[in-house]
Amino acid sequence: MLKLIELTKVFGTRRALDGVTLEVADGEFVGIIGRSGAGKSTLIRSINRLHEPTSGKILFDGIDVMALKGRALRQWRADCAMIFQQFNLAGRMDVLTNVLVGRLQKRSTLPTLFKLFSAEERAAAVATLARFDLAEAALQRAETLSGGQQQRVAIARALMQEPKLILADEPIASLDPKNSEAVMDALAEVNKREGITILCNLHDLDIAAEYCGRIIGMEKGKIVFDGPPAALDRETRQRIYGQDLKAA
Amino acid sequence: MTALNELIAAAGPQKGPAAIAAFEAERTAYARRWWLFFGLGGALFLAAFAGAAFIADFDPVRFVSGLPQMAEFLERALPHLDWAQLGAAKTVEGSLAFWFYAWPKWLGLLWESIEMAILATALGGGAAFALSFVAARNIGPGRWLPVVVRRLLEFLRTLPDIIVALVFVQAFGPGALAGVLAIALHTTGALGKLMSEVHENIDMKPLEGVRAVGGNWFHVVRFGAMPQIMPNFFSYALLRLEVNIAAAAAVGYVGAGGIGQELVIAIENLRFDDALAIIVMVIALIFVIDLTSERIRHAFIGRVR
Repeated sequence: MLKLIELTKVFGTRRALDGVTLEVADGEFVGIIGRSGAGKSTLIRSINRLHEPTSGKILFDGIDVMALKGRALRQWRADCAMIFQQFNLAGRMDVLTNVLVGRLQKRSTLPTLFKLFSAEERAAAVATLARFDLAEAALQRAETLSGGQQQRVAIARALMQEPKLILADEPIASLDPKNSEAVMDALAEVNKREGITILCNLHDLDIAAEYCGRIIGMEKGKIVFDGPPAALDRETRQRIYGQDLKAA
Repeated sequence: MTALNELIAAAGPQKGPAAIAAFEAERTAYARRWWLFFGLGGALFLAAFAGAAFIADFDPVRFVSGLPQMAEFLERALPHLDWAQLGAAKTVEGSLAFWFYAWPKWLGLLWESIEMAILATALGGGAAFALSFVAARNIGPGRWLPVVVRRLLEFLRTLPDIIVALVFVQAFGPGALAGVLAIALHTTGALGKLMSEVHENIDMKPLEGVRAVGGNWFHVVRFGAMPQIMPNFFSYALLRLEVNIAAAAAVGYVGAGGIGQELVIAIENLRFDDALAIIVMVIALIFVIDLTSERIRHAFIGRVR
């Protein structure tokens, strides 16, 4: 179980996160919505400590995440896989190696530097690519794939980490509707089959309502809504997305 | 079951194993091609290396037997410094001032070499900057112009600057002009090639953006490519300045101005201690330039990155 207590992150004079307290049970698929600048990204990135929170606590199964250092911190990062808006793959490297990058924390450094992985790891990487219909692309450069395909490669990389948690920061913000659906379907399948907890930033409310069992609305670094999609009334929507929202 | 096994199973009983088998077959074929290419290439390289060593008469025995002579040369070149007299006037044998007795003159000539290097780097760097965009495969305009420019840069790069300087001394007479032109030409070739390869690795999306607003080739280069490559350009140009200071000292050897002239005279007159004093000054200078140019470079790059 993931537990955030009064988590705060200050950039200069701006409070990007302002006392966020939150509990997420194992196996949940949580959608975090809000306008840009609401603190969604900061929240996600604080959890795996790509951002260093200013104050507050992060607890995962009783472990104090904020106190982790060095190897233990890297182990934590391996445990909570990250999916980025821009995929963050090495475009000039082949797809398979990009996926095998997910194994780095589990191996000793020297062999990995020569791209040496076990046959089982290779097999798992190829099988996971096959699961997302990308097995044929295994030896291609990642940059030759479409955005939706690259994002699914990123999900495959995340799975190779054997994560307890997947953090997705606007995974479909730069994808077209069809590719968005493929990526969200992949995340939903991973959530259901592997039972991995997913925290996913989204700016599209309809997609969040379709895929996530629980919605968290953020505004100015604070949580202003927490509940099932059905409980999102018009007033809350307007609060989260601003007054000038017409179509919602 | 291990977690990896579960991942393999997750792909389904047919899909997973089929994909793995297909991939392993492809991987084996790929590895075979790789070894064929690099194994063969490596063998060819070794053969060429051995051949070159034979032709160049690179005899390890002779190399080792020559080492004592090297030491003998150094022995003659090293000044006879006397600790007690180190700070004494230049009339006293064994003092530093005695060793560097002509330092005002050498410093003047060294300054001439620096000026030559700066001028040559500015001229050659400017030409290299302009030509590099034309030579780059992803940016160069039209079909033939980039090819012609690439060949031109290759030509300029292959000519050793000291030989070009020799030719220019015949044409323009002895002096700094010949040296500056020779070094500038070589700089154009080397830096132009280096930068064109930098251009070939940039992100093409900003360039497409400028093209999409109706910009011409110059607009695309100015607003699409240049913002991406400027830190690299300054970095390489300053590196080139360091190389060119050494080159400016060297071209004096054929009468093309600067400190090199003095070095030749010292060596021809068997004044090896003079020669070493001059070399020490050149090395000290390059050291200073290296330190300052690193600062400038970081100031430039720091602003961009």
